[in-house]
Amino acid sequence: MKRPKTGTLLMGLFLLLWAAAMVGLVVIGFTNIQPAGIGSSSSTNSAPISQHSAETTHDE
Amino acid sequence: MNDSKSMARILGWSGILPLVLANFAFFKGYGIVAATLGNLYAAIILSFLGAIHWGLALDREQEREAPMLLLWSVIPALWAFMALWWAPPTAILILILGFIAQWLADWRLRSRVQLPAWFMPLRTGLTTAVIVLLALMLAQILTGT
Repeated sequence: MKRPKTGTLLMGLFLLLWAAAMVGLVVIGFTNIQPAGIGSSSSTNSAPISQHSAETTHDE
Repeated sequence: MNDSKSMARILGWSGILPLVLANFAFFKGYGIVAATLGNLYAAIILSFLGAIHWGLALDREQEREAPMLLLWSVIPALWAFMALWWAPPTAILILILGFIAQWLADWRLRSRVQLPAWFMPLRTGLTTAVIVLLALMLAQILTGT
């Protein structure tokens, strides 16, 4: 079987990443979904990540 | 200070400092803010490294390797952008892979393009430092330090 050229593979990777970026931006534009890496409004405090999820539980 | 080797060293190693600070900030309890800022910085640096290939292509418009240099040059930026969509631990892993791939791409350049003698040693040192610091941040996140 013929081995794919590096250029073809790179073009495929480029198209994949570019399409993912476009889809992601459209999703953000039309929904309230926020990327985990950017953080939500409740994640702007300085709590460590390990404690961050625990903050969502309420103490009675 | 006037020669490019010294300037590249000064600028390159001072560019490592924000990742050191991000690690220190995480250690001091700034948690997700430190991790996110560290990842944003690393993503910008990865995009900058990709642009080295764009710059080389501009100087080789008529040469056979120019289209490949241009094509590769945008991939690290897209890769870094994609990394930022994920939670910090996953983003760090994706960024580390990106830095390794960019180093390999630069390594392949050696045989095709004439580069300054200091370029690869400096790139190797800086990439090692970035990967170690990102791995340290990942270890801090996972251990909850």
